[in-house]
Amino acid sequence: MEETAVIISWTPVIVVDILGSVLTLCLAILCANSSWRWLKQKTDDIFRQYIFLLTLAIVFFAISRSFGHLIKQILLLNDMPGIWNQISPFSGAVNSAIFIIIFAFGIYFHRVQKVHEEIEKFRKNLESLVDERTTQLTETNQALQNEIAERVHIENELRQANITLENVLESSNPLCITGLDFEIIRANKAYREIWPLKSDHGDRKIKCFDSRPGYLCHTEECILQQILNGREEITIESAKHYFMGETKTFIISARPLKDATGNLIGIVESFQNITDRIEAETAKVELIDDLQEALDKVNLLSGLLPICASCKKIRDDKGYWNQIETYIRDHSEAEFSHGICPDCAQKLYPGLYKKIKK
Amino acid sequence: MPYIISRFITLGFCLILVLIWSGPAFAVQQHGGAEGLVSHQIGHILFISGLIYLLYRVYHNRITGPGWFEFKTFLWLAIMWNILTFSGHWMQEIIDPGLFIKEGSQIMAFAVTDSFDAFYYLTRLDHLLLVPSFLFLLFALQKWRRLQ
Repeated sequence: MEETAVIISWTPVIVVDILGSVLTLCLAILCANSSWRWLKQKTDDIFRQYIFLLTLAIVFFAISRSFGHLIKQILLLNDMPGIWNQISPFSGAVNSAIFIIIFAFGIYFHRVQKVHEEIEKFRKNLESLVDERTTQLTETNQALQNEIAERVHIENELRQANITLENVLESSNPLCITGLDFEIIRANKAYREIWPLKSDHGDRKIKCFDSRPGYLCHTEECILQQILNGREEITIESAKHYFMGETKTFIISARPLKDATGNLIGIVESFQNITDRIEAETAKVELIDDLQEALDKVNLLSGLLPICASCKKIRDDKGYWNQIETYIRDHSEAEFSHGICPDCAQKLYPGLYKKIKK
Repeated sequence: MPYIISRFITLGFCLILVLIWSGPAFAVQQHGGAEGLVSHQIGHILFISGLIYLLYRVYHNRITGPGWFEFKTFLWLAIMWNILTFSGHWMQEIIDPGLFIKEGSQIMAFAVTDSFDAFYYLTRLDHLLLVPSFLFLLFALQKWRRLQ
């Protein structure tokens, strides 16, 4: 029995070969361009680099094969099979080499993918860590800013309180703060104008008994000592020596100075200078005495005076009879100037009296 | 960038070495001598192996996302093209030359007597697989590019 053969035209093979080669060539170039552009978007991405190289190898294969097929068809159509026989081994060698390269890229895919995933994971972790730390830093920064604002506010208040305290201190009587060791911690201007604050021993603070010695110093009656013994408030009158040597009298008011926890850390003393007042009081007393003495003298003249009914002599405290002018002169500030009354003038000088009368 | 260029240069150098060093391998369309066909077929086997491994890794690692369907399709088509071309090269050696109807040196027609001959004829239309595979490769690359 004879085999029946179906004759099929070879033209479709040639057409498909040529067209296919051209299309493969174009598509290969487009793939190369696309992979290159993708790589350029992020050149440090290892996976993109791998895909680019793999695509490049495949494209090389496609180009070499397409050129080979096109050249083959052209040569065969122009009846030049001999030339094609010379060229075809090289074309085939290139394809074989590229097959091996693509194989190598293929088996390297897993490693590249792993490394890429790990890098991406580290990058995401790093990003989330950075976000987390940024949030923490922002919160810390905000808290710090709040704290700074509060501290600035407190410092302003403290500054204002200090200024108020300074104004109060400087506008008051001499005032000082003495520590538990008798050292003067602070004093206002009024105090410094009266008593020194500098010690003879360089920068050491001066002791209160050196700065303003008084008769109570080093005794149990010392104000600081009394406060240390538990008294809450002391007001005394005391004489203190001025730095120029003179002594003045002060009303000293002392109160304990305590810290924020209530512990005693010193005393606050204010000094009211009453020397002028004392002197004024003394002068007043003397004046009163003088006035009293004068008054005593005035009262003698206002009492009962023993007087002679005839000669009008007055008897004094000692029993002597004095002329009335003498007595009044001695017991008052009065003086006498002598004259004659009309009755005595008529009696003693009648002729002269008549003349004067006419 | 210098890293890419150095890789490119290395690849190019290897290709040039292969070109210069290889003797007449008669690799692709006309494989004169068994050695040329064998080396070329080994190349196809390696090509297929590389693509199959790549495909396996993509499935095994469950890599999904835009562009990966197209890339997997490219790999499938490329594997099928390799198998087809591999078969065609092998069949070329054992096909009866009398089945080719020539005018001079030009092949004008082909006589198909059985399924073997018919399959051989189909292997000569390998571009029907190769062109779509490159198309899907292009689609995959374009989708990846648009992702950024």
